[in-house]
Amino acid sequence: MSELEHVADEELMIRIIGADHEAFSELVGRHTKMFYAAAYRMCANQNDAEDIVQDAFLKLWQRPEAWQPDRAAKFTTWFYRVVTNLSIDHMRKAKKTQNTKGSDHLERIKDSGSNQQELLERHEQHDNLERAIQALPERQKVALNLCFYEGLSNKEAAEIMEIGVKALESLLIRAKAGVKTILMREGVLDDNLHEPTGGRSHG
Amino acid sequence: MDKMFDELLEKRSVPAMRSNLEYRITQESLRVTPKVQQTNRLEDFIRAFSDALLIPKPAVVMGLVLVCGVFLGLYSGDFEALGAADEFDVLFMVEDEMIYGDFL
Repeated sequence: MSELEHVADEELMIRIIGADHEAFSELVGRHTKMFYAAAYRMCANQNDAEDIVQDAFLKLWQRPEAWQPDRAAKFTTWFYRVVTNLSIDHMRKAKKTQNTKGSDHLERIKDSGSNQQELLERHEQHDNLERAIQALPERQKVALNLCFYEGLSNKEAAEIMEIGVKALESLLIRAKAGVKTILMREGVLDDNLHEPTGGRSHG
Repeated sequence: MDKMFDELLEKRSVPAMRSNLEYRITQESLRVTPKVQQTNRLEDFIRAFSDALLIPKPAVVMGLVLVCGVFLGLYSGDFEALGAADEFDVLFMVEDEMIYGDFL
């Protein structure tokens, strides 16, 4: 058991500022999975998400003083902002969002042997939802990801996005309405939010 | 209706990351040197000194000081001892009864 296991993130950051590599390794081990998921939800590509998280942690290692302890910022809140900004930069540069189409999921389905039909249906469902979310305007997507999928409070998400709580709530409402509209327009959902039987397939 | 939609949103999944991502990051970090902030002692002292003087909420503190000042002024013994008619004279240091030779 590592002696750093019970040390708070903020304490680890103070040690990292003093170039403590062990503290950095502990922080990486603790949060990589969570921030990988956050990055994936932004860019919908496994390799890109991994690159974003790696880039974020390396930036942290190189310039740890970018996190300021006197501002009393929780490490995870601050790092969500770093990862979100890097994801947005990445998406803007690559302009890949429309071309991702859940290819990672298709690859996994090809690899798995059992119940292909069920897996394909699940993939289609995931693909439709993912495409609808990726089609949202950038800020709406960030708001939805932070509040709904990352489980952050509205206050924390607003802090990360550097906007007011009211503005965030408005973005969240518009995001959900946007996803609903897209799914209905594409025939994935009917007016009662049920998936129509024999739903449309997307190629 | 909203609950049903939230349940639908929850079906979104994230593929697992490669198991060695953490290892890759820590190995990669060994190749780069952290840019440790260089400061001198004088700079540290100035920062510590200014931090010590820093008032977290200046408006609140000033308000409290003002309220305390007013209360202290109102309830101080000297103020009560003064007659209403004397207040003006005391404040403006006017001598009522001038006796010859006072200024000499």
